[in-house]
Amino acid sequence: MNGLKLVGKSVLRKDGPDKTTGKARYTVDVDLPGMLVCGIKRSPHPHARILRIDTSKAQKLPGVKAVITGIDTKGIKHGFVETPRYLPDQSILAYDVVKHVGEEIAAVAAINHEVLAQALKMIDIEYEILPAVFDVEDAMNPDCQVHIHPNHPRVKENYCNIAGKTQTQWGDIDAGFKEADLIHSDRFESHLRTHGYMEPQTAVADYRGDGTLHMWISSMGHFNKRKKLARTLKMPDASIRIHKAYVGGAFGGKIDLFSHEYCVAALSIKTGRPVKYVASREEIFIAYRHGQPLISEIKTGVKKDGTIVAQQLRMINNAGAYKGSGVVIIFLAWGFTMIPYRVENFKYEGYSIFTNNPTRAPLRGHGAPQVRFAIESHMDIIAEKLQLDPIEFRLKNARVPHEELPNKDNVHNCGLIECIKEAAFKTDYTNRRNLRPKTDRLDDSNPIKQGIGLGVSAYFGGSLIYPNGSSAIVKMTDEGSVDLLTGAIELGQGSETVLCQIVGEELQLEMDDIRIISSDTATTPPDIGAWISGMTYVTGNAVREAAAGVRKKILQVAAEQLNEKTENLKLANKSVWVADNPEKRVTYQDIFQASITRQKGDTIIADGHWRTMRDEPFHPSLASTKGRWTENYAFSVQVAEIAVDTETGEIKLLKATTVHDCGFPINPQLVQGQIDGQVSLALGHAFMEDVMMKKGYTLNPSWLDYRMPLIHNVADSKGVDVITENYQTGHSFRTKEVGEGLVSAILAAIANAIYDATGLRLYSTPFSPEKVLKGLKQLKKNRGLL
Amino acid sequence: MICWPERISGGSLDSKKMKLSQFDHKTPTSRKEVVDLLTNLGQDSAILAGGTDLIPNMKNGTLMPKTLVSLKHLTAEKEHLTKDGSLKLDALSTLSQITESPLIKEKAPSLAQAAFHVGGQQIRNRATLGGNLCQESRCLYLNQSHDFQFVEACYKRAGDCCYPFPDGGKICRAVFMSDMAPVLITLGAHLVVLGSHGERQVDIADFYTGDGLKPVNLGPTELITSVLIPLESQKMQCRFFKATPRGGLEFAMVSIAVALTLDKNKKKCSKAVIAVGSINTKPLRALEAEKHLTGSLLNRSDIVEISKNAANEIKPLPHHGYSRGYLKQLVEVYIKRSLIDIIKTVDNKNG
Ligand SMILES: Cc1cc2nc3c(=O)[nH]c(=O)nc-3n(C[C@H](O)[C@H](O)[C@H](O)COP(=O)(O)OP(=O)(O)OC[C@H]3O[C@@H](n4cnc5c(N)ncnc54)[C@H](O)[C@@H]3O)c2cc1C
Ligand code: SF4
Repeated sequence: MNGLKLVGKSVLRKDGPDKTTGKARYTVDVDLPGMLVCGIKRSPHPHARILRIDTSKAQKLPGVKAVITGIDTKGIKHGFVETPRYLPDQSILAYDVVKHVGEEIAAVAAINHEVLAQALKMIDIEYEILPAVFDVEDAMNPDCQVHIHPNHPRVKENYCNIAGKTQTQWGDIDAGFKEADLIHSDRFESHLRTHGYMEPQTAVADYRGDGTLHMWISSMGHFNKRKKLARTLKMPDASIRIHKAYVGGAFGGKIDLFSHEYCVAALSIKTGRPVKYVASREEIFIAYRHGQPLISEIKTGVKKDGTIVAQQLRMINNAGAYKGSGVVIIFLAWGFTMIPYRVENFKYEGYSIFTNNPTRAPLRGHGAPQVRFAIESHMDIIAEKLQLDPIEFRLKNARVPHEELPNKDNVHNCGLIECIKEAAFKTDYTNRRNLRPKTDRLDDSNPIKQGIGLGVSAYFGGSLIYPNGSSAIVKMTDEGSVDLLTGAIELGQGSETVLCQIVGEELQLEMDDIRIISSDTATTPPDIGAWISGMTYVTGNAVREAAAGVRKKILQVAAEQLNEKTENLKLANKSVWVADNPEKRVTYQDIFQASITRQKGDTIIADGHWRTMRDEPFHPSLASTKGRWTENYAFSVQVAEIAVDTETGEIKLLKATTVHDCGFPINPQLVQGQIDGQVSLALGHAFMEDVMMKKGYTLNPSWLDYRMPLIHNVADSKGVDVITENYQTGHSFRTKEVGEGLVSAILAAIANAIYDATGLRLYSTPFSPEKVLKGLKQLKKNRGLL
Repeated sequence: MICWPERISGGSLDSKKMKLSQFDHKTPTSRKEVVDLLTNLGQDSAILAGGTDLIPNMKNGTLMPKTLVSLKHLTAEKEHLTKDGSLKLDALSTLSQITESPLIKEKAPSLAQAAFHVGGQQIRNRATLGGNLCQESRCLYLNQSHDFQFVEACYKRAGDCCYPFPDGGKICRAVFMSDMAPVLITLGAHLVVLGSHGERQVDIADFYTGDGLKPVNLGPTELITSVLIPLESQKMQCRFFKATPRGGLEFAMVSIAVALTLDKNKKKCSKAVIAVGSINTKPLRALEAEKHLTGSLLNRSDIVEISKNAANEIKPLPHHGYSRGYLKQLVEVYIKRSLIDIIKTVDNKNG
């Protein structure tokens, strides 16, 4: 492909040998001499006033080295979002009111777990139980008597417990609806599920005599963590060093500062000894952050020919006890609505509502699965009402290449139309859907019904979030290999592999010639972090620039050595030669030496930097959506083929076809891995994963009772690339995103396939056997079959 | 600044969560010695077989025995046919052994199948038959550590409340979820129990009390030594179905065992036993359906009716998030499917 050496190839993973031989070190493996263990005393109540905390008994217990409570951390606030509009609202340790079960109240450092467990039990806390609210619509009801926080001061509506609001509109919504031949409204709900990362939440802190704090954290981006730690601990950034450790999965759940991270640091400072905290799986299920249930109300006006003329949305998010990423998801939900289809007249309102549930985090897709499930189901419903082919209906409204979005972003080489056509073609969609007579859907001769469904999604990549950009350094060694220094964190997604491929491509090196030093805040440059689906694009381009800088230096020195113009030079096999005279060559090793002697000691080092939208200072407003968001939109269409057992309600995803437009795939096998991973994540979402909560308590806090798919549940998944970006060596690597967008359309596709198979339209996730069976029963009743 | 990777070494015990409370551990070498130990130690001791049920329950604090009497130094007798033709299984047989044994697969295929559907491979490698039959009943509120939620002990943990059924009365409705028990009930198995008063045999149908607080009829000094499956069961048509949301590594929503004794031409049913597991404090029988089947010729339309009636007479407790109504539906479908499967087999053999 284009004479490329490494990029575009499925080279082996850089971290593969470490991980397959068990050598890889994770934070849970960090064990320092004299290390203490930390445990956290948590609230047993969803809403209560703390009247008294007595730690004296615990403090006296032999083996207990330190105890901290809310008194020690009073006044320190942090939050997922920390902006002038959305001020940080979480305390490190609660000191007046606890607002959800599992909220942190005290932290203990002890010499072992036996002492720790005893000490935690000995902390005596007196509470006054307060009334609590859990259901999002109960919480926002103006008559709600429970006020978890004061309403957001800038939202004047007569609702309760408003954490935040996003609103935007364009065109003329009333005029739009007047033009419509059909106006249709639906309401969809999604449920609570969690990330299911294998490595628990964990952190180690080691405060040294020289005033430096060393930490290991299972995180998704060390620079963001360090910033928040420095601010809350009131220490200079430079005194905190977060070391590299592999991360055993995160899926959005390990982004912002967690109380335990601050606590291990504070306890290490207090005791002068290293302190480690490992959350139990139960703590993670009960007290940590899950994804976010959304209610989506959609009203759409459509012309007979399928043109969408108006759309109005109202999204409600159950944020939990603190803002968390709840005020972000209502912004993102707008984005995931507006990307794929053109709507001239549009109105959006998103509410984030406090309840006495644990705080929420992003979860791979961060709103997109919920939104696309709603919209794509809604699209199929409308298509049927208007007797339109669902494919044609989507094509009619789909964004075209180089179209400008309402927020002034450009979709550039958007591949949506190609994706829709390709998905329909590859799965023979139209024939397979229409050939089946509708009447056989509920006849009982064969309880197994098959169906096919399709969904569309789009996702942004690499937008602005602290530190807003990535830098990288590439430096040569005397034998002509290179070191890559990057702040990027390997959490299983393959960042180390992809970044080395990029360096190797620029410098024509083998993978083994590149050593990667990563995610260490003291030795590597800042990095944007492994979220917002931007690492390959943002960090990848920083790395490419750094490698290109080294390449330029190599060529310069070689040109001098060979007495040739740089344009006439070629490089491969760690040497440079003259294009028409391959004998005339000089090795990287010689170039390195020559550079030092001739170039005033330059050991051939270069840096590179990247950020999205260099002309935009900030992320767009979360409240008004104003401002540009990204230059990187990836599109996808997914088709689900399913079988429904209409007697038991069980559904099996037989096959998932993913057609996507991720830009240039640096490593196709990693892309396929992302596709398969997302399809299985969506499958869990669709059929079995469900954090069961009752009054703020979690009923199934274990792997046994929270069911994630097993290997035999995983569907046959097929990926088709629609590569729309032209790739040329020397130009920016036009990657887009492939890590989050593909959990969404497939969820919608499954819902549409259930309808195709049985005539049952589901308006909420999960599509559990019980719900399916109930729905089918109702359907049969309605049709006089029961 | 220098790097410190040399200071990172392998994890020590202390860096892991160790939540098992302290206990004493005895390793008797004979069954008699087990009984003697249990007699001497009294209430605070427990038998440890494979530990796949006991240890998790100790970790989450549901059970806190002071002494574990381990069966690990006892050797399990190999499964065999006794003089009267019964199939005899040692209570110490692991579920993997039961799954793989050619003799069991031939003489009690539904039992081998049920064993195969317990947990996952690693669990079956350790899990024993005796442990399976004596496992603790389960409840979402019970099977967690109560470190900071549901801290107030429920009846089952010697406290004074019940979370899912707060109607008072000190009744625990935790569900008994053994997959082996319903099958053994349909096969008419007897348990051989050894205790300080000697050996007794108990019909497995009488072994389960239906009391969530004490689900099995076993004295504090007793252990199950073996399981006897009578000869007549070997001629029956038996089926086992386990309904789960993901098809593996999990307890059942409902498990169904069916055994029919058919006459020579394989059409008329002379005896029927249907047991339903995992939906109540003990395995339930579909007695009306059994009566209906007994003496009747098997045919599909009757079966649809019989399964419906069976679902009506079975009274599930809502458990693990599944509603009564849904569980009833599952009972109906899986009884129907079991019976239809039997008809199919018989038709194939006859035709
Ligand atoms: C992840 C997971 C999944 C599981 N899935 C299933 C499932 O699908 N179906 C299912 O049925 N079970 C399941 N189990 C429960 C358990 O693993 C099995 O029931 C197993 O057979 C128990 O046997 P054991 O030898 O490990 O029992 P142990 O844990 O050793 O003992 C269990 C109880 O029986 C008592 N006991 C043991 N042996 C005897 C004896 N000979 N006489 C008298 N009392 C005795 C013990 O004192 C203890 O109270 C699962 C467990 C786990 C952890
Ligand atoms: S059903 Fe039994 S185990 Fe469950 S909460 Fe009630 S008493 Fe406890």
